[in-house]
Amino acid sequence: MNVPFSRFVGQAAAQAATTSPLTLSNIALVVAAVLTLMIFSYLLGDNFLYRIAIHVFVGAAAAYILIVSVESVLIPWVNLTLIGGFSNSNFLIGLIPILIGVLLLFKVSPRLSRFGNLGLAFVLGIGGAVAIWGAVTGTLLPLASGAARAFTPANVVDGLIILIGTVCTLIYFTYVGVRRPSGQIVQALPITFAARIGQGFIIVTLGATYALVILSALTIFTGVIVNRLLPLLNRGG
Amino acid sequence: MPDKRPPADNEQDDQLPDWMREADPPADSSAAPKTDAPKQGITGALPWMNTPDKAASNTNAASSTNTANDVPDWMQQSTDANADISGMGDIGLPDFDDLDWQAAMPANMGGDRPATPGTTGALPWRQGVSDPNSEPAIPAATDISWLDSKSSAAAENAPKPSESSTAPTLKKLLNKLAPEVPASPTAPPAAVPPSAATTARPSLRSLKSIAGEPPAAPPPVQPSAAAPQADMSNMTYDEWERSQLEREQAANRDPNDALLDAVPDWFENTTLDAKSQQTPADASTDNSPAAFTPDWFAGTGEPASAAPSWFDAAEVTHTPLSGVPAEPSTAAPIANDQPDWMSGSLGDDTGGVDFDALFGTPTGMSQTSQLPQVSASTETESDNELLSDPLDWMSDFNSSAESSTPAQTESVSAAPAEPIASNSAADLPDWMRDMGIEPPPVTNTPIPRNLLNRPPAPSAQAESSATPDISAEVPDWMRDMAPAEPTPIADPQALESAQDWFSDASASAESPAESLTPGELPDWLSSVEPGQAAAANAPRSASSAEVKLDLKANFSSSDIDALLNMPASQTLMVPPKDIDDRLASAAVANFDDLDTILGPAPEMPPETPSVTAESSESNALPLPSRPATAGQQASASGALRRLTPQQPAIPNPMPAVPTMPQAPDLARAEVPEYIKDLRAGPVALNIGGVQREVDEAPLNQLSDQMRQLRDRSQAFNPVQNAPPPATAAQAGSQSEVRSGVLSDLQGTLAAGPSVFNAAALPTAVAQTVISDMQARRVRVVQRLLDLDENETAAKAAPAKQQGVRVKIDRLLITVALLAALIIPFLTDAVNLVALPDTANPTPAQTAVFGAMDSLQSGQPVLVAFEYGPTGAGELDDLARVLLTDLFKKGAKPVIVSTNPSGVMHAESLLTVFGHNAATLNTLNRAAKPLVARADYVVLRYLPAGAAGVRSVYSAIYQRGFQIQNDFITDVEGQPSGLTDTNVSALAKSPVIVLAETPEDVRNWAEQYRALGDANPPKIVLAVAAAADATARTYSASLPQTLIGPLIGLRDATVYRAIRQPASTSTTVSASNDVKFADQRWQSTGLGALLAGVIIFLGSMFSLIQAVRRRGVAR
Repeated sequence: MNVPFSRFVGQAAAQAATTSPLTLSNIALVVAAVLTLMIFSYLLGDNFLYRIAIHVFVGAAAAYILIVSVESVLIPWVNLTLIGGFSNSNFLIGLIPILIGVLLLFKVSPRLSRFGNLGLAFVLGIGGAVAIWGAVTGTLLPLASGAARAFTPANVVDGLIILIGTVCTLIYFTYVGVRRPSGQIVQALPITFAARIGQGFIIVTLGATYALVILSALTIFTGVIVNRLLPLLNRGG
Repeated sequence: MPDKRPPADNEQDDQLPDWMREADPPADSSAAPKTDAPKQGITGALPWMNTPDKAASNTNAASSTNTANDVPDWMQQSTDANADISGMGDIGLPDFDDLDWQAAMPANMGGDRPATPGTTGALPWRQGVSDPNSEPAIPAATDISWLDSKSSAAAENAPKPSESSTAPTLKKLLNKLAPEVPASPTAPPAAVPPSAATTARPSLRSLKSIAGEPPAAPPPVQPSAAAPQADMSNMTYDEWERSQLEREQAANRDPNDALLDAVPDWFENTTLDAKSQQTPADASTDNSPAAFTPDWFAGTGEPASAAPSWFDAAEVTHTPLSGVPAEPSTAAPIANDQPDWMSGSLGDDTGGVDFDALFGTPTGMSQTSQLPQVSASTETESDNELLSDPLDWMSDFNSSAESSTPAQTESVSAAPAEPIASNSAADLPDWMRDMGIEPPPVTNTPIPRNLLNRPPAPSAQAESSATPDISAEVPDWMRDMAPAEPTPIADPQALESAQDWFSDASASAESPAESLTPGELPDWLSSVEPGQAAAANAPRSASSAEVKLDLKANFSSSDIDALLNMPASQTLMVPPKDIDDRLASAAVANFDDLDTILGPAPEMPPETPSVTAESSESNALPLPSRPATAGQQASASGALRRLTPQQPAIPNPMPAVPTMPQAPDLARAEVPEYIKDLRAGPVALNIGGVQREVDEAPLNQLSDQMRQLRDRSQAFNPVQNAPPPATAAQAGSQSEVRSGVLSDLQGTLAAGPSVFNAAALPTAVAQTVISDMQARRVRVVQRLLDLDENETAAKAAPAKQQGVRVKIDRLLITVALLAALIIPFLTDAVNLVALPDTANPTPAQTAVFGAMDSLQSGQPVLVAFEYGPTGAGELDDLARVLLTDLFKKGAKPVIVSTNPSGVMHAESLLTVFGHNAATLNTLNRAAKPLVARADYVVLRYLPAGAAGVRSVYSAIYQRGFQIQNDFITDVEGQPSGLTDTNVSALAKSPVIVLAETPEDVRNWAEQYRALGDANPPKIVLAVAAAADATARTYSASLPQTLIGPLIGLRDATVYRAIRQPASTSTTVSASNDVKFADQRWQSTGLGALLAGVIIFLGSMFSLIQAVRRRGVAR
């Protein structure tokens, strides 16, 4: 092992230059396993390893998002629209998001933030319009029609449950009541009763959702074991 | 002043001898001369005096004890048979025919009067009746009928020696009443026996307040040359002196009168009404009853005739009138013989007279005997001056200080030596006494003669019995300035201050105030002659109660000069009667406020006067001995305890303690409001509820006088006189405080240091003291602070330990779950969960199978990777089975994602997947790894979430610019190679959405569709277990659009078992994969089971706890 240090470095550099994606994947596998254990150390409480892993993830995620935004959004957009100037047919279209983006930069200055509001209005307006349209056409109407279709001769019970659950859940979010002379606000008995039923449906729904989240988490954990820890154990063994 | 006497009086005056004419007082004056010479002069020579009724009016107080021999012949003739002359009997009037009694009078009393005044018609010494100096202020007796008649009864009521004992003030009051009294000869005088006059004299000091008028100007010391020597009755001079001293002490010991007495009464009058400013000559000639009658007395409306009877019946023994002798013969017209200062002051201002001193004269002792005996020559000159300028005596106050020779000074000071010395300590003005100034010793205090307005006693006569006369006319404070018996002086510095006071007073005569025009003079000064003003400046400035903050508006140059000439100690001890409280608190060291300031005091020069501190503290707090150190609390009495150390340099018997820095304490001290108000600029001051603004001028804008005043005021500050510290020297100007609470204030007096220095005064309470109560409070505060610190430290310590504390319950659950998840990989003994049913796929699975079977070879398929590394453990299996099925079908996956990490994860997954040999074998592509942009395309990230999904839908179904934007390049920035044809083909294949969260499902379900589209796009949902419910709901609601969903590991296992069974048994790795999949399934199932059990147990435990709490609550 009397290898000179310079020669060792040269060999490592040459090996790194020839590193294949699989090699990187193996390195990433080890790093990921270590970071995973560091994250799991939080089960013992807040500790130094957990904080290091969190910081690494947060920093890496932020850097990655920045890189992705620049390489996958800005540069392709500029290349597509602004490069070539007015000779580019998409130049004017390409200026619109650029101008809106510049307006958003004015939000940094409180004195000039009013200009940023203009760009923000575009963003929020378009986003809201898209969300509302999608909610109405993709969620509200389909879910309403789906609940209505639940009443079939074969699924009367399910239909009733769905109907009762839906109505009572909506009633639960009804905040209409009567103020008594004593100042207490009370709801009518039917509303209170229906609201209690709707509250029960909400509890069951949230419980089921929570159970699914737990199941998903357990699945992820087992996947980590299978895909990361067992390969390491098999290689070590 | 014109003579206001009625013409009748003038006519009668023609008949009167000169001396009697002079003695004939105004109608309202009852003060009769007490000289016996007039009596002799009118004997037999005045037939008008023989009128029986008039004589009866004066002698109706028949006294059996008075023999006829005792009564002069002229009186016997004129006296009615019923005349009561009892009053005269006691005194034993000498036989007027026999002038030996007069010869027995002291020679000096005779003055330059004719030795034999029997030749009444030629009484040159009586010329100038109106001259108040010609006759001493001898109040008349109760018989006042002579006032109206101006008859011989007046002569009969010639002053007797016993009459002189009557208090002049009361006599004057009676004189004022005289015009209202009918001049009935039968009206007997007040039958007050002589014994009553000698009874205890109640104080008439209350008359001051009743009169409501300030006292008159200080009377000049009247020469007593013309005043006959009164009989001293049975009292010796020592007895009289002792009684005087006792009364003075008793009267002056009232603390409430301290402030009033601080400023001499005569000086207070100088600023007030015009009447009080009336010259003595005018006052003596003013015979208006209203002018001399006190308000309370003039308003009574008593009939004149009732006065004598009322007075006869009145029991005056225990009244203020008890001191008035009842001799009817004393009702001689002596108003003009009174000293001007007395007559003037009694006109309206009885309060200006010291009734205690005047009424304290014992019965039988002539008032004239109290007058100093001055040579007649000097008296004549003084009289002339007083006639022309009644305030010359005040000018003499200053001028004679320079002109008087030492011999004169000695003669004057020596003559009244004894009585003055005896009263010097007691009669010293309170404002001087409070300052701790002992009266100067007689031998060391050359009192200018003009102070007493007396020429020097030329002969030994003035040194004899005339000595107490000085104190009769001289104000109290001035009367005792020449004590014969030197009083031990406690503080020589105070003595110097007292002497300086006089020197300043005399020096003020040369002040610029003299050159000022009357218009420039202040009101109080305009009424006083320059000499008077100079004399008055000292006490006036001493009573700097009129010092205002607005110096420009309220100070005249004369005021400033007065302040400049004012000693520091007196300035500090100004009684704050008229001073603004705020200013007073700032000017006078307030040691009460020092309790809040515990800083030590800088070093002070020992010669610094410490009158303020001494006077303010020594009277209030007995000082305990100084502690050895600042930290020690030495309080032998337990009442007070010093906190600040003593400066070593201070000549104090207390042990020295190292000095503590004071600047931080001062800086930390809370700035008082009055200091805040003194900041530059117009300062609004609330004085007595009235807001006024004070303009502060820079130092360079001050006039010379103001600047001198400022310098002088700084001289008062002992701190600035002391060697300045290094910081102060660096500060440069002392007038501007650079730091502390007074920073940025121009012309400040460095109040902060002065406070501390005041505490270090050697002769005063040199240290800040706190009471035990305050000390306990300090300890309580310190204890609280310590508790807070301890509590904070105690809270901080467990916080650090809390980070390493392991929660047992959490650890137990974690360990249990880990065991449940790991054990299935180690052994099959815990395989409790049944494997998914792969034989009977669910409708959702079947729908997905059908959608995948509908794909054509080479057809691009849009695959949305809406999950990142966090969901890779669950969704990667689904992704693999779906991608395997796509590649097996020959489809070309086009990967998109609205999740930035999803794009990266898809690229990484496809890289590994495309190079996995088992996968490639499954795809029948051994040694042909999958190539990006050829076998699959990973497009770049789709920003804006739902909008990004919508843009993809638009690009596929609506074409246009979005195609180029979304599909032209891949994640690596390389051209994706997708053509419009490929993009259009995407509309014909379902979109495979691998969603991790319900949000991703909703975005794709909502946005990737068109309303009213008859052939909506197909979406195959492959979601994680967390999005199972949402995906099922949307799938149930949109069965035509949504296919699936495939849920997590379970459907992946089923999908693989159904759609890819060959690969599971062909290779070893595949068999291992199947094994791991089964173990994973068991692990997940066991973990879910254990989690369910733990959740159930936890719910039951919480329910039981809730029931217990409710039971306890009920």
